[in-house]
Amino acid sequence: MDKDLLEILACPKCKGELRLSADETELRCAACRLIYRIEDGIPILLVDEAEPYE
Amino acid sequence: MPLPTKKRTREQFGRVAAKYRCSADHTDLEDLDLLFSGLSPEAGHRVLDVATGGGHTALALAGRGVRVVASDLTPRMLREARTLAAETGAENIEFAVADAEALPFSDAAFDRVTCRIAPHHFPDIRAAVKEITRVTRPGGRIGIIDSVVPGDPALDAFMNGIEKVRDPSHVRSYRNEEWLEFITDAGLVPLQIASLWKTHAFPEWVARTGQPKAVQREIEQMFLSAFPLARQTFRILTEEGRVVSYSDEKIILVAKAPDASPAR
Repeated sequence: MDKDLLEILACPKCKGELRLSADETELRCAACRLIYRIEDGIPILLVDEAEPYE
Repeated sequence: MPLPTKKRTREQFGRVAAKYRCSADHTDLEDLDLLFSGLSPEAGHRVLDVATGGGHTALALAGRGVRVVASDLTPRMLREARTLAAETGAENIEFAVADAEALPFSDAAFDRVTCRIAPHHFPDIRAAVKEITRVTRPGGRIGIIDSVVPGDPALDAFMNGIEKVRDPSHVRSYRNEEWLEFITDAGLVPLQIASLWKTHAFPEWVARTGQPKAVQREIEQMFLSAFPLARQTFRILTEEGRVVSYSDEKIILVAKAPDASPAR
């Protein structure tokens, strides 16, 4: 995942920071407790498709 | 939030993604020259292309040495755009699946934001313009191109009626005055408003959205039975009972984000 892009990405729900997982397969918003998956190198940044986590 | 429209949009464009990558109407870039003259994208700028579709605008921007982020609601459209980018060797372009009404970017992240021939699909246009404004830096510029309809309500209803039959994800093509209102209500300052009439070869245009032949025939019938003012305004050309072409108007709008963020 491109670092330049990561720098400006934000959670589509709260506009807060997203954190890239170590294996670069997902982005997490700690405030909303949501996981956005990265598919084929393209992040899917849709609130409706995000997975909640505990 | 009328979610069903977005679902329809994704289904619609997931099905026909490749047709948009090759579409004559989307690869004819005369309108982009007009847009770029007001937008003035500069090398090194960070530019977002919202609802990039086949990626034509994003690629034209990449060719100007800016760093482009291309977003779209439909993952398949982005994969098509990426294919196109790979074919042209463009490297300064990144992709993100995003909803125009809830953009996944931090405030003021971009120097320029473009959105071409897409806003008529947005269920909540005001929300989208607000989001586009939010991610543009103070003093940055926004460039929009979309189909518009004439002020006459009958002509408006005629063209929007046809578009809805042709493409179930069509929400509304607006009037120029409506666009001006969306822009100014979002706190943007209009810099350039231009208009371009575009002629569409009917057979390709009607087939592009992947509708069954019966629906295509229905659309042709709507054109053939157009009232005189519609026939004249949209330059509907027929030959031996078949529609050859018609024209519609595009607005090419450039606006500026206020220099300082208003107090929140």
